[in-house]
Amino acid sequence: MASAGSGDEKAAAAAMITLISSDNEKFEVTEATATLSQTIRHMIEDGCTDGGVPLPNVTSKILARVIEYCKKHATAAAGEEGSSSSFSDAAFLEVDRAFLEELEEFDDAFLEVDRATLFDLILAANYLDIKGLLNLTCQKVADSVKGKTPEQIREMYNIVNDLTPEEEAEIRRETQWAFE
Amino acid sequence: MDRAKGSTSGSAVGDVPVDPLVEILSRVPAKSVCRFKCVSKAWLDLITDPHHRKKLAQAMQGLFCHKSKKSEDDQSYSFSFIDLAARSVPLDIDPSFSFLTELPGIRFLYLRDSCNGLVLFEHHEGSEDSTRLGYIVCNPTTKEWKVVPACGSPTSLTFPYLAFDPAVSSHFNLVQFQVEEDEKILSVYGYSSETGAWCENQIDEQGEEGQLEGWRRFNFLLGNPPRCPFVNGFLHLIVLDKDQMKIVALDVQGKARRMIPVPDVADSRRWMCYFGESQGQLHYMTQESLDAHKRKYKLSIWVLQDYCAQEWVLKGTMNTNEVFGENSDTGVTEGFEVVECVEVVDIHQHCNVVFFTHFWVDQNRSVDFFTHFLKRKLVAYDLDSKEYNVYLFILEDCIA
Repeated sequence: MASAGSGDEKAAAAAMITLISSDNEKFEVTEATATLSQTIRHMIEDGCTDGGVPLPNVTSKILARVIEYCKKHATAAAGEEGSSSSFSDAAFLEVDRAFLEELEEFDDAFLEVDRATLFDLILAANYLDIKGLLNLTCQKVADSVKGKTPEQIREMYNIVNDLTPEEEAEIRRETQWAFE
Repeated sequence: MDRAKGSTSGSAVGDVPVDPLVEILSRVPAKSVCRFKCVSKAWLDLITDPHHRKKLAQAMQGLFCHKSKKSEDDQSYSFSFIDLAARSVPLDIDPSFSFLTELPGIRFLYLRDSCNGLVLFEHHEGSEDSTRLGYIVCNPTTKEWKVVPACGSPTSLTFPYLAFDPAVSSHFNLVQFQVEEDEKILSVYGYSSETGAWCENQIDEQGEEGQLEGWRRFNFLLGNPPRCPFVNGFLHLIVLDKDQMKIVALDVQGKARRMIPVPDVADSRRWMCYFGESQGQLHYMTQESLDAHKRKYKLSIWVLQDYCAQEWVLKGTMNTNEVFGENSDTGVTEGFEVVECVEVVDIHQHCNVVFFTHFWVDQNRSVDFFTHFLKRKLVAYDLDSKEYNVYLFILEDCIA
């Protein structure tokens, strides 16, 4: 199967894919950028991308941001796989330090969005199956909720507590250690 | 706020859709996830949904205690399960593992290890010295199990360990050490449930360089087979190099990757009493007697804060006499001496709670049959609040 490995870079760059947002805006991207999405990669492999890929779940505003992320990360895609999960791999991996730092700065800046946009990015990353983006955005939210009390969570996300006081007391008793 | 209309997949929990919420919560520590059950009904359902539970960090549910046989002919094999949460509906845990023991062809099972919710049994023809038929790995919560074929000579002295992290993969690995009578390690084999096969012996004279050179000639602690905690994708084995403890990190194939020093406690009065994992970090506990009669002990709990820099940090200490009172009836009575009055069992996976068994002597009973009246109880001690809870009284042997 054709992959976006470094050897195929030139060939992949020639092939362009058209992505169509829910509000009918067209975005032309290289195959290397598009295949960061497993969903689109499978479509390409199945040969059903002629005439553009409609993405009815993603607005143009969000799609533009997603493409921005994919462009930046497409070049690093080959090396990024699994580097965060394994110490030994990281040690053996020959990586361009400066580029990684730049990528990290890009990611930090990329996350400077309001909460609604952040959740839309998560949904898009989930739908398009872009692991790196899903991890990045989910981690951002996870960091913001961990250590919070249930009351704080309700306030943050406008959630109405529909548990009865008895039910809540029961859960608290069962999970007492988590509240200490 | 101008919210995009795309975000409505699944029923919303608050204004947060379900799928991404599971993704988010899978990146939140178990303690927080547990607490979030109180947010609302929808959050409670989502967190307790068996389908999602596989993805979320799971709170430690309890300890298994291994009950000793009542007599030599007693062939029954039993455990008790200590539920650590005070819940009104008990967990559906079958401590006798009857879903395994009643399977046709099952002879005798011996508990060997557990790791992140999976339990490892060794399957024998008869007693523990008899022919080893293989291993069985099971999940006591889902009652799923898998048979692993035996590896190497069926009567050799072997120590198997489980490596499993549901957050990384649904597959597990086993690493089996074969040890000689003189405590030297003869072979290390790794098994992967993904390939269903054991790999080649990973002891490789040529491949051992630098600090790893000759690590297998260090002593395996035969008398007290050590725990082998699984942290950062590596199993960690304690070995003895002359009189110095060392930690070898092995990958899931059983290949030694690095050496880690133990905390710098040169004092000879202290000794290692626990080595394990909590909150994703290696923990090491030392025990030191504070007086000549071995009645008072101090436990020191160390954590490997920075894995790469190999930096141990003292997390807390506990004095038995402070916990149980100055005149606690541990230790000596009428010439009999209890060498270890406190034995560490485990540390809670997600919080700073240490479990240990506490021995004491029942003063109201005759001491003629001293060992018969030596009692034990399981105690949980919280390092942060300095409080302790007694879970139960145990007269039998107890291992977690």
